[in-house]
Amino acid sequence: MSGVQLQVRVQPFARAREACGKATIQLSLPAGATVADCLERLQQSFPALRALQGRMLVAVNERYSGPAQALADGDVVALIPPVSGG
Amino acid sequence: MAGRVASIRVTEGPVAAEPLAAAVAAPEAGAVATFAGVVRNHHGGRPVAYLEYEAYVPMAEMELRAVAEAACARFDIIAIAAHHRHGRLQIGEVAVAIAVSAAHRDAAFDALRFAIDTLKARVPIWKRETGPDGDFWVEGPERIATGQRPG
Repeated sequence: MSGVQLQVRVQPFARAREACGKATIQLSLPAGATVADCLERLQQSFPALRALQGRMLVAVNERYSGPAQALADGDVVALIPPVSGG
Repeated sequence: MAGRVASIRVTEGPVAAEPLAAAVAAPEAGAVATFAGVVRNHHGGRPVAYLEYEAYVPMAEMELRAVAEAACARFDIIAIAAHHRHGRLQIGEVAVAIAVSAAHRDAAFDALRFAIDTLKARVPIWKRETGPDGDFWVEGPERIATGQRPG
């Protein structure tokens, strides 16, 4: 296993957390990985997440982000199913 | 002069509208409008025993502040405050409280409506309701059973 990898911490919420079965997931991704790449990897590890495909928003470091956003080492990626506050 | 964000909080403790009304009061304010979102005992025709709100707390506070700042930018208001509770809430408890002050009531009512509507669309908080037929995540108009579920 060579080459630069970046480490991200994934925090799934609500139904996404139930799909993953844990509150925090450490992921190692290749340099240049995007939010979309991260989601793809998560769906491989946690197939139940596919039920939420297209219905989740993603936040990187507490800011809503799009699939093309590049990730950096140490980023915190939150999986945000449809919200229901208020 | 632009409105100010008086108090933003996402907390497990009780929240209430009255202290927020005091926080937004000002000598120039002829109107103070408040809203309390209260846990009710039914949803979609089914009984609800209690709710649990889950929050991505640091981001929820940021987004709640962004909603308040957006209200200040759009409406001629003096101050706004919004507190949202998370954890287990019983019927009748307040989940969210908002207060807005303005010189005149039109802006106060409009900003208050905008704040609750926008908060409900943006803030990373989720409610899970428990009733006689189990636990359900509320996702917009849908209720999704918790745990493993086929389909």
